Amino acid sequence: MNFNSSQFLLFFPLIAVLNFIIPLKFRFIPLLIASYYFYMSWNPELVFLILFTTAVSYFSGILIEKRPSHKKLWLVISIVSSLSVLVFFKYYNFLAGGVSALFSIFGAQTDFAIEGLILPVGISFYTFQTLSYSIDVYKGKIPAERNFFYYALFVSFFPQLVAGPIERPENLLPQLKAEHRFNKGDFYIGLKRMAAGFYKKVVVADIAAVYVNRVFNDAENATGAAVALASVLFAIQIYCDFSGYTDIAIGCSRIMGYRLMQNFDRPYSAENIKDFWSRWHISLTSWFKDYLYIPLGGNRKGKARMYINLFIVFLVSGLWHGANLTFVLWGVIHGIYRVVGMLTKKKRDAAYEKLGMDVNGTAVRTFRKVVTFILVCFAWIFFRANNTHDLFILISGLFTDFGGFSFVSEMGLTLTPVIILALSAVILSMIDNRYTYGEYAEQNGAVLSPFATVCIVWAVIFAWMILIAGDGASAFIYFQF
Amino acid sequence: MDLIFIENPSLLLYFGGVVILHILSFAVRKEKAVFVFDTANIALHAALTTAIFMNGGDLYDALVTVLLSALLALLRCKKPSGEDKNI
Repeated sequence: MNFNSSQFLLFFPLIAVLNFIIPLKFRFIPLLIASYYFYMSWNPELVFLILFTTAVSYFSGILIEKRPSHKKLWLVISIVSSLSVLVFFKYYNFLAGGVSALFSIFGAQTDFAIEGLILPVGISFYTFQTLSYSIDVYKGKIPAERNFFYYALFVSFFPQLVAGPIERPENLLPQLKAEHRFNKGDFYIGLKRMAAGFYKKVVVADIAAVYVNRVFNDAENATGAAVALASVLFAIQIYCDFSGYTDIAIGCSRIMGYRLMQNFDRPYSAENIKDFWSRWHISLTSWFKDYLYIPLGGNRKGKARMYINLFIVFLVSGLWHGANLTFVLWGVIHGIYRVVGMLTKKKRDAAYEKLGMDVNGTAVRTFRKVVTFILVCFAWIFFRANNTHDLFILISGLFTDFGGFSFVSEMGLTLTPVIILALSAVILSMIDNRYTYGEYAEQNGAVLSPFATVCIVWAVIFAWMILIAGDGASAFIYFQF
Repeated sequence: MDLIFIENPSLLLYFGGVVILHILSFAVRKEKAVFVFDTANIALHAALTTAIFMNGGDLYDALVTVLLSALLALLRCKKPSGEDKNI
């Protein structure tokens, strides 16, 4: 069941009503059933995986607290068992392919891959959520949850189950136990946030995807100009797809009285790559910072070690996104951006001063934003390429065969979609700047005028009808991670 | 696929009406008057969408008009004051 499916339009209001009418003591029951039903609507058999991960981390948490002398052992058991499930289902065939390739060097033809191994939806998200719980209990930051059902609800809470935000136990667990009465303000803010999310997904991401796919699915014939434009469109597509999902998740949680963390903050207005990562997939970035970068030593063990640590984080971040070399390379390229950015910062600032430009002035800041956006778009080519073979063709085309204006016919662009995409992008930036993020985010959700809301809902309906008439509504990109 | 407004410029008259109603809604300060103009605007949009389809336009054309109107509506919105009357 996708957020953009007709079933969800019936499912969500029913659960929201039950959330308010059932007494607090029993409220976890419909929420837990709904969350598992939501998850099982993809593949019912895979429910045992989430149950296994939930049970292991739940009992480990209790044992960490009850047996302090063996708490390290229970933490290791929890981490290893959760990661084993993730590694097996997500990376086994990738690793098996690597081993087979290694054997083939020595002339042995082997195939260790398992055919039909399904990647469970959202496995990376809920696994990371259980890991943060176990580590936080181990560190004594939070007490172990004694009620299995509340803990299971924390792991499987349906709005954020399949694509985040990766919630922290100290934020979500207490909210699941607290009283939530219907609140008109929360209802309006949540509804408008959901409308913004649907707009991003259906009007912007899905329409941009049509033109992006034409280039990336035909890499052999793509000219450099088409690749450049497709990478910019993909930057818009993936942002709208993922932040659209997050907006819907945050919006429907808000309607029910729960507040999920922000996962984005206008990432394409970042002034450097570090800034970009503090605005993009915030819940994952902060997870890696707290549970990988800092335990590795962070910046406490000298500069060389700090660069290595940063590089490791980006490498793992790339691998987290998928078992494909293209994702690993995407992580590596961001790691290189970060390290080179830190190494050259002083020289770049000195160069601006030499040119008589204010380092914090508007001109320099705008220039930084443009350069950062270009770097991020270049890295998106690695992320979107179907495989490494296509990736090298696309990148080489970018520098050798730019092709002029032939991209217009190549991508099938006509005036109408160009106007739609341009208008969508302007409206998107206005919604994000004025209503979704920033210091007024809480209040602005309710300030959006009724007429603007009607137009946005109307646009979503028209775009939805266009997509249904075409290939149908598409799944969110981040479901595969 | 070209815009229906290029093939049939007379449809721009409808859109002109939409723009005028947006300007009127922006100019008047009374909430009731804004409500009246916005309701009329929604009715005009419905008429415009029907006219688009009757003149051979498609959903893309309808989407363009509603996006243009959404942009005008967003431009019309007052800057956030930091206060939220609904809460």
